[in-house]
Amino acid sequence: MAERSYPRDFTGLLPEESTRWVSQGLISDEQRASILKLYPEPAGAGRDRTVLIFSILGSLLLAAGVILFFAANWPIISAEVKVGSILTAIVGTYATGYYLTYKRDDYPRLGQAIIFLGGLFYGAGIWLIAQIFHLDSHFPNGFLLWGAGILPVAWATASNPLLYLGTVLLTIWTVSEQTGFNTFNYFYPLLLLGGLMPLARRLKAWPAEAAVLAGLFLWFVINVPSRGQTPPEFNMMLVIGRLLLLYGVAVFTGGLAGIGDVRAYLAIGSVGALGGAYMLTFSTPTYMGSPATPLPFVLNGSPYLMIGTAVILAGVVAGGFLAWRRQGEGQQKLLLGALGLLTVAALAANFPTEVVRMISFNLLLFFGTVGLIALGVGRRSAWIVNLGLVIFIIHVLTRYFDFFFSAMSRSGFFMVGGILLLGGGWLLERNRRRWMQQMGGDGNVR
Amino acid sequence: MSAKKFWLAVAVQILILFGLIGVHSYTLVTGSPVLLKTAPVDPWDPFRGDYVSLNYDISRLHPDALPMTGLPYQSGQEVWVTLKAGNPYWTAAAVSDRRPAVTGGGIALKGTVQWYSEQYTAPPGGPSPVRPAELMIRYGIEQFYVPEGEGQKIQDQRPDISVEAMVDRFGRAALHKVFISGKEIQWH
Repeated sequence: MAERSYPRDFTGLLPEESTRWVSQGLISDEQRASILKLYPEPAGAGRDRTVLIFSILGSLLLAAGVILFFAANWPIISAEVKVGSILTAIVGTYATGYYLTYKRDDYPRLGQAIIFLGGLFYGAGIWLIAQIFHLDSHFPNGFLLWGAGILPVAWATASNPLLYLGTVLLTIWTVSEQTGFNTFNYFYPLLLLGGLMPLARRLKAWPAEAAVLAGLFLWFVINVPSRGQTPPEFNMMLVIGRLLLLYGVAVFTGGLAGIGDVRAYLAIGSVGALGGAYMLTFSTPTYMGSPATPLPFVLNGSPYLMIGTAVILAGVVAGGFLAWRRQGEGQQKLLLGALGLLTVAALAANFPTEVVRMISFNLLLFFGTVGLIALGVGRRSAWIVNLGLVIFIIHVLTRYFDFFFSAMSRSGFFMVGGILLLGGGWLLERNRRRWMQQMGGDGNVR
Repeated sequence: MSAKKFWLAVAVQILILFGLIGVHSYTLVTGSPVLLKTAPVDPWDPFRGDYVSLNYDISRLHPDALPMTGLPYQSGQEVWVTLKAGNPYWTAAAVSDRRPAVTGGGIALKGTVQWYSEQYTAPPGGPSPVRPAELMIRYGIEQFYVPEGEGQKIQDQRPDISVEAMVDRFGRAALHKVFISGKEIQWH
């Protein structure tokens, strides 16, 4: 019979929880042992994640030392010896990591950290060879070669640390490529969707999946100002706010439709949608473009902006349709209706005045946050509730600074702010505990 | 996990590293030498240490001093510079947005536009009424790595620096030799 896999949170908590059950007399030691045998930890799960974290930190320090050593460019070491050393270091490190991870049973986490070190040495090798041969051709390529080069090893060894490193490196690559050299960099989304996303799915690494979703938006939005003319009255902060809101809704509906890892989609979707609404709650700063009241209509910009917006909108419609079909109960329909309202707000033509726009998006942000918390309670998901609370606190603090910083004396501003925060914290904590208890938890943050 | 899959993945990385060396070596082995005049500045790179940043006479060019086709150039655009032999330094003879047909011992060198500025004419009464159009190009041979501490010395002395670069048939350049006051420098 095929062995069933269980969520890591569950298998990770079980040893500690079952010890508590024994101490409370609910089960015997023998029963505890039998239960634990029923739920083995999945391969690579973090019963002792601390070991992995320490080992990864050690790898980072060691790699930094090696890079700095070679960066000193010691004249007594010949180019051949340098190249030979770095190649030996890469192969030797990978061989050691492979041996510890797959040939021995007792050091799998240390083995993973040493494989990660191999990925760092490989990157050091790129820079070292550039140094030895005085290569100066387009520095973002170094990050591309490094990030893309470690993905096959991440795939072969199911290494989450290497996947995360690759994700960060490829993001650095596209940002430096797009902002420093004004290139479209269409290869980046292809690499994200064709390489990183399948790998993140395979390794069940939801933060990497979330990073891919965030990376796609980042790539798209960096290109907006440089791809074709936008009308002069366009204010980029407002354009980005609208696009972010729309993109967040598209990703969120994807999460409701069950595409990919729900945590990644709901996290990026809610942060995107509410973050976009948040950006639209501000008055237009004059230094970021026209101080004029009109809010630009994103479908009325350059061809790049129009096509991009249309693709995101298609994502909203497809995600909404799938989510509607998949979970068509009343509460879900209400949620989808609210998301539809956010979509309309993101695409709406000019508001009568800037104040009307700011009030409208403040209300949308408030009700969106309440909706997110309600969704978390309904789904019994502590992290969604906590995310909603964080967004709520940021919103309240921002408005407090907006309205009272110049209106009150400095001492009064901070004292009242402190009292409000403490009182608000007490209220939130009390309600959060109540929600958690309703959800069946113990009120502790998870 | 099979060992074969693991080592195949590692082999990809080793191949990339050898590819970097291979492309450079191809230019060095098959390229034609050109001697270029340059001036140093000394930045530091966290990954690669001290280097001397080389600013060539052929890096900054003026459309009014030599023919340029395909103007105006965009930042990041690939351009071709026709080099002609001089005594002793090679100089730029023309710039084009396409590969030129080079004759008479010239060499076509590929570069990337860093920036291009049109001629600027200030309003009447301004201190500098006219600034000529300018083109800044990078050739991928602008960095010369030196042992720790040496970059500052070179910067302080501001010596006469020239470079022998090899240019292959694809127009790619590679640093071959660096001369300070006519003497080749070698740290190892």
